[in-house]
Amino acid sequence: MFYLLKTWSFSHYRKIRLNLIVTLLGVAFGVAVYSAVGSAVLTLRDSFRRTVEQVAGKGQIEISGGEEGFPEERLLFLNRHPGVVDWMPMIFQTVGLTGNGKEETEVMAAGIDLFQAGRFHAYAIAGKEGKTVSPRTFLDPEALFVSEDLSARLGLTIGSRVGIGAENKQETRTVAGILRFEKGSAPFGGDFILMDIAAAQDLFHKTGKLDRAVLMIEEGSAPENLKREIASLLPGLMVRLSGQRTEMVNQMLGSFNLNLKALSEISVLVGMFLIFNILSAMVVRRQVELGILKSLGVTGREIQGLILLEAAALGLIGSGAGILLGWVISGAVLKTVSLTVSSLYLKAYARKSDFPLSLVFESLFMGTAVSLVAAWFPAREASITPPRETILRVREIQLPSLSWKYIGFGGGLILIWAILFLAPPVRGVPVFGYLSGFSLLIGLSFLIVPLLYLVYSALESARFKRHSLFLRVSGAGLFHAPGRSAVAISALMAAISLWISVTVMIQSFRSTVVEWIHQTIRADLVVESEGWVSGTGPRPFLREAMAGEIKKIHGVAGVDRYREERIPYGNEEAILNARDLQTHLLFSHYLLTSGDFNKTMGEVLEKGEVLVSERFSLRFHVVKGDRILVPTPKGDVSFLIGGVFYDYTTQGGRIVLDRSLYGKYWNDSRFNVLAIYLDKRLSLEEIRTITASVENRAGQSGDEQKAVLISNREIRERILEIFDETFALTRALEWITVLIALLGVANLLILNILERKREIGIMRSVGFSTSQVKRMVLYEAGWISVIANLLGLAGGIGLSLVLIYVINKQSFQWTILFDFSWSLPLRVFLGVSAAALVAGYFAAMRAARGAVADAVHYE
Amino acid sequence: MVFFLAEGLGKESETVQPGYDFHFPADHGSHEASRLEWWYFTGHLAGSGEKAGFELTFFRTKTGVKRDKKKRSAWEADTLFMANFAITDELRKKFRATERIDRATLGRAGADIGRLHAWVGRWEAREDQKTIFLTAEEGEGSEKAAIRLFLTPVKPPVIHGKRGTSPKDAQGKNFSRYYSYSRLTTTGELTLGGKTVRVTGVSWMDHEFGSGFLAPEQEGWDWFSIQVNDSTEWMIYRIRNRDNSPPFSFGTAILPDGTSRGLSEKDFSIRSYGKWTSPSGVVYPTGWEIVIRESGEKLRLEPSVAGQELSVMGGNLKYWEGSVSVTGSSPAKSGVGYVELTGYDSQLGNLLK
Repeated sequence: MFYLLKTWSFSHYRKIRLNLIVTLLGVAFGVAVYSAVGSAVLTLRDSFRRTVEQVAGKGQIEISGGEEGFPEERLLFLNRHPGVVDWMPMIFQTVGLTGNGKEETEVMAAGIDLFQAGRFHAYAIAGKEGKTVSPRTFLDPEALFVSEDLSARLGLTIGSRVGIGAENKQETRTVAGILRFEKGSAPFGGDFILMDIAAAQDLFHKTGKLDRAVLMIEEGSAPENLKREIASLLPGLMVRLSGQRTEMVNQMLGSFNLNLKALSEISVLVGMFLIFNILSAMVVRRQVELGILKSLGVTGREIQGLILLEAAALGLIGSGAGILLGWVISGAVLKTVSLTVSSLYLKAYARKSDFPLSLVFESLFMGTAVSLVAAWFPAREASITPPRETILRVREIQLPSLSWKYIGFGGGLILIWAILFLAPPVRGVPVFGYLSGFSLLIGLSFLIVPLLYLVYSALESARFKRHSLFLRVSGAGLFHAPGRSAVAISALMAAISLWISVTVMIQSFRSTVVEWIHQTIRADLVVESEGWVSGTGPRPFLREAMAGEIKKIHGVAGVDRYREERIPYGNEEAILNARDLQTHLLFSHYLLTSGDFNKTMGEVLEKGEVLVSERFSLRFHVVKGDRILVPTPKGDVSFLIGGVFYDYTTQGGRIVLDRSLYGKYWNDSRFNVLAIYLDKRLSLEEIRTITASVENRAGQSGDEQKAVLISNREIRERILEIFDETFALTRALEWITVLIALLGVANLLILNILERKREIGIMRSVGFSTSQVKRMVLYEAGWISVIANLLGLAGGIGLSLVLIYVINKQSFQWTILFDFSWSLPLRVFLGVSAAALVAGYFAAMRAARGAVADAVHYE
Repeated sequence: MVFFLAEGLGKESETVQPGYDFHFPADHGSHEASRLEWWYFTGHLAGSGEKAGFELTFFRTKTGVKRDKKKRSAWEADTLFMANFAITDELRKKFRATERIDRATLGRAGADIGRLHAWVGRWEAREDQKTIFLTAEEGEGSEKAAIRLFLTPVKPPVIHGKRGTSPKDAQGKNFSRYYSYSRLTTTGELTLGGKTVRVTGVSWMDHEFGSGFLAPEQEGWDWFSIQVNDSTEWMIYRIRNRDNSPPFSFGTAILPDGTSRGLSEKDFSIRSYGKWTSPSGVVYPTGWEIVIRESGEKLRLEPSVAGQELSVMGGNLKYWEGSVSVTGSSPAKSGVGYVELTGYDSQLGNLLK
């Protein structure tokens, strides 16, 4: 069989080189996307896991507080607590590192008890000439330890002076040691520096505070019990087993990864369509020879095997090229994915993408398996046609029929789509959502043949019969093999559906966010500490007197002191906001899921209730009227939820309360942002003057924090910028899928012409002119485009509903308002038709060119 | 210990003045005016098919960091504690040692004033009701080694040197305050290779503090504690000079009735008859013949395991300290001992320069 493949198959494929290249490109693009996305997902997951593992080290229990940290005194009982062997204090801070005149790099700085590092962690600290660093160095407040990666990248050696920028301050430290991790196991992707806890507390103004601690426990003590016991002694702090953090990160990124992978898989599946086309064409084209082979004793099974072998070869070659391409683009994809993950979830540190052998095999398998599946029907067709028929090219023309079976199947599957739409997620994964989308597309595919019948009957109808024999003939290729046409059309339809649905989803999401911004971001001016909106680290504070000073400026109607902090909530994290709710009530807005804003806010203020974001409500299964236990420095305090509001700024759930409550329980009056509302009757000139004086006040930052003034427009723009960044990759994936689908359309048309060489020859010999043949081919391209677009539109809308109301809602808990504009399907139709017509034109040229005698010599 | 001696050199002007009256139990506690201090326990244990030597020591040293309690991190420590825990498995001829260093802040490590209680993390020595409790452990599973021991003094503490002053050189410029419990009966648990057995034995405790121990021309010392079966003990040491000139020797003999007598260099001689090179390349003497001239005792000291080198300060410093068997003229004059050899690692020389 391999002999046949080598001698016979190759010679045939050589003749359709262009189609072959297009097919291979289609497979390659799909596999490239699949492997690059796979690599990014893998790299990030590994990077997070490594980071979590390295940070915990041998510690089995982990204690963490919110962003503000917690007082270290709270843990001192652990020095003597039964079952606890030792505990390691930790603080973390993102800093900008400069050294050797190199550009500033953002790195994670950790402060730990360096004296215990050897007991907890697996890295070596190398000093001069690679020797172990003397522990006395640990006490040097100037001493800094940098990862091997960083030392190589920045050219740092023992004794190098480096700059550390944190909270707008620049300090200098000396490299006293290099951290040597086992290859590839460095946390934070190697962007990591270490200091003694004493030095770090002083440098980061966290004296007396810790961000985290990990506990080594006695052999034989039950970690779960000890965890529970310690948790009961530390109300308000998050106590969990070290493994749970990895689990939490995985869970947090699970939906994101799943959706990304699903999207990349679709691009491979669309590639399947190209394989199907080329193999079908090749089967038809080689009918005579296949018949001869059969009459020579080659069995049907062997023929089937041969075709499948061809498919496997195509799959392997295409996948191989795709993997190479995927490897090339994996760095860029990783960068994009990291950016999205960082802005949605938590800061991703991954510099170099992993491309393990397992991924290579997985991608090869994926590409090849898809090719084999696509080849199954053509291979089967080739194997079962009796030799006589294949030699004589006697093939029954099947006309489309109004198959009730198909309509039944199609309708049934569409019904299933609707039913699955309502099904809840399985462990947070919208399994039924995916199934729902899938059954919709399959269901619509079943309707293609009936649709072809309708078009065919319409063309056959008396009215058309009279006027347009030509119109009828032009559809012949399409209608005479409705099965094959249906597969081709369904693939194009799937691509169109995807195109429409992803665009509708992103568009709906964006317009929801725009509307939300419009409704809720109303402050005229905002003073914030530099880099606040996009920052991921703890928020710096503003000068406290600033609020009063700005409020006194003539024309300033209201000032809202806004505080944001991450707090532990249950076993997860939530964001706590304290703000002047009265000011917010007067000048701004929350989009509530239910209830009147003014009435709700009045009650919240009066009764000391809190508001929670929609995501918080869904994630923690609480609704308006429920009570939640919020950890405060004075212990857990129970608050009543007065309302639930929409929020699109973060993945985390949000709790909002009035500053008076915050002051009462947190005993802290600091704030990170000032929202300033101006008198609405001001003239532009007056606004300018006020802005200048606000800027002047904000500029007097004192020694704490550099503040910047931004306008309402700038904030809105920045939120949308982050939004667009987040969806950059989704859009890119969508475009690649569409590109593959368009390649498929072109290939289909060209192959179709090759297949019908004889038919066209006959038409020419009975008097059709070359321009008529050309037109006929173009019409056919048009028909494919029309039918695929019609169904694609239905599929697109159906899928976008699934994406918005099921997959997105269940995965990310965001409520998106459906926003559909008819210009989109029009654009898609034009795009697909243009591609179809361009491809059709080439096919038509080819069809017209063929010599009549050649084509019909058999007749 | 070596490290701390080196650290202490010439950095502070405070010195210990001759003449000191010990008061117990108060003097078991920490003496924070002194720059250096250590509590030192060694012993020989046996039970249920195990035979082992142990060492658990706590060193306190000033770091030189001046703390500003108002502003600074509580982790910034003016005092550090280092503890060494070593077990010599005399049957399987294995030796393992671990060090722990921690700061004397936030309860991480420390020593009480006025009573015997020193700890680094979970390792601790504490006296309650005239019994000293020692605990330390390291490793996991089959690698685990641990002690939980109760030590009861058989004799009162013996103060070395005249008027509470233990001299370190002939001129009397350097000295320390130094006393020992030369014999403590010991019971408790020993975990070796993950297996815990009940053991009994005999231990030795030293407590020493001061501020200037070694003169610049001195490179290290050989120190011996010897416990023989007739209930006599000797503590002797010699401090070697860099120029190979005769070392400074000093000691104490403790008689079965608990009385003691000071020994000077003319009262004893030490001769080593072997050499042992550690895997790290340090050459130590090994095997000694000690003659106590005043009583005519000739003692032969043989390490129970050749390799009993400790690597401390993150591997930057090495010294030998280990269990030895003692063979005298009769079974009554035979017994056990511990030997400490410092200054053979060239690193110490570098540190001293």
